[in-house]
Amino acid sequence: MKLAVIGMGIAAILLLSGGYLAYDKTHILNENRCWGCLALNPTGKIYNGFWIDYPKEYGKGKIKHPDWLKNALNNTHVVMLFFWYKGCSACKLLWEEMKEEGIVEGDEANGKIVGFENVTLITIDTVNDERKGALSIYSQKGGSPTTVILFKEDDTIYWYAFEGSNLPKDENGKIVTVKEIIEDAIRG
Amino acid sequence: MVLCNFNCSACPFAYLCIPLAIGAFIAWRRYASSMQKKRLISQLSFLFLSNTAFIVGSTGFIYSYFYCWEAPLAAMACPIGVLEHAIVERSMILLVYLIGFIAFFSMIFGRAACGWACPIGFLQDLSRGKKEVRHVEADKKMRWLKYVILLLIPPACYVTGTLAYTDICPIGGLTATLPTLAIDPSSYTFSEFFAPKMIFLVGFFILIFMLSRGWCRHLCPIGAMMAPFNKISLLQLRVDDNACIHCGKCKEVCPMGIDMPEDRKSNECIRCGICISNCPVNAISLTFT
Repeated sequence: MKLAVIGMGIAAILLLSGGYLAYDKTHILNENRCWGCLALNPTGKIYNGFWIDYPKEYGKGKIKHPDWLKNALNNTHVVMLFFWYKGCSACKLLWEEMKEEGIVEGDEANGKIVGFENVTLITIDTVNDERKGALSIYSQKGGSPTTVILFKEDDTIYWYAFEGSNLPKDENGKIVTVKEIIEDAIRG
Repeated sequence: MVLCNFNCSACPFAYLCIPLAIGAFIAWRRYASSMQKKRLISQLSFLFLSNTAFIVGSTGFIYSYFYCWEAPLAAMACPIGVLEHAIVERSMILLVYLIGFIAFFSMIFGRAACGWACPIGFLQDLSRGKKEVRHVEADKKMRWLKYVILLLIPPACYVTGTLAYTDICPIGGLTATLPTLAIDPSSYTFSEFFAPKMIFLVGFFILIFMLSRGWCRHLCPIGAMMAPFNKISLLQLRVDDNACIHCGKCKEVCPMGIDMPEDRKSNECIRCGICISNCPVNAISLTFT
């Protein structure tokens, strides 16, 4: 009986302190969707050039880019955003694919673009990064991984995004690689 | 707000309403005594509570039972998911929260969550696997498997750096993947983990139709987390040894196959109370210390 009371006391302290410090974290994790965990991928959007506003399937109004991104686009021509999460196997798969293609190097947390000038890669951890709110702007279903490629021309921001680890396809059903999309963005 | 528009094909909530209605219909006569009726209502309300994200949004609370937090309307977090995230993120505080939560509630109720709250337990009550086991020794040995699975999850996540168990979890397949697909089948394709997940799900269904509470007995890692607390929990099965006539009825009806009345503090007891309503001399009771 004494043991049970002591045990319950310790458990209550753990529960209260854990709840106080980790409630918000658990909440974020709970809202975070990872396509790897669901074993599903959103069907790839068809790639036929960049968008200025939301395409029809998003069903949203005008896009409002975050300020930190606008600043980044002032310094470089093309920005690539990669939303990922540490435990997400689909993110890992897509990252490895891009590594093999030779467009990124390093790990997701501080990865860099290689082989292109004037292109910046920003990787955003969808749980721990302050900029995680941008995921809801650019993704339709709000899960990781989501890859966004943006460039700015004459004060207009053009962008394209795809979700999950499936690469997008063009109108003829041919797979479009991330490299090809970046090359298109550089050409403008 | 109108909760039901009677148009099930356009409603994300329909996949919950339909099982609730079917479950209540099938189960009402099976849950014979008044205590069992209470248990049925408890199971139905916890199934409903698990899917309240359409009212309150998702929260940072943890379930003490199996229900995937990737489910479209899930309101709380799966304990196994929290464990995996704690390992992948090297986050001590998530682990403290999880251990505190499981330990606190298990010290009060033991494994009662399996019998009274868990939707997967409810599903197994409805599937009604066979109670008599031919190979009792093998069944006893297989019960260690859930502890092995629980102990393997942290190293697997640590080594692979991914949510290794969630990737293949059959319960996630049943409560999250299939409903997500059912709501909007045209906008998803399968990833490489879809096939193993579905194979495990088929295995899960074979197991729960073959053996009474087969998932709880042999495989459930959340049950394994709570099981050791059964020995010290406040809520306990008590047997009046003077009244007991050793008829063996309680052992016969126990869905978890416990050697009642000797092994009354068993790790496997889910406090469902089926033995209580079947005891001819009312020698068993479920009370707090």
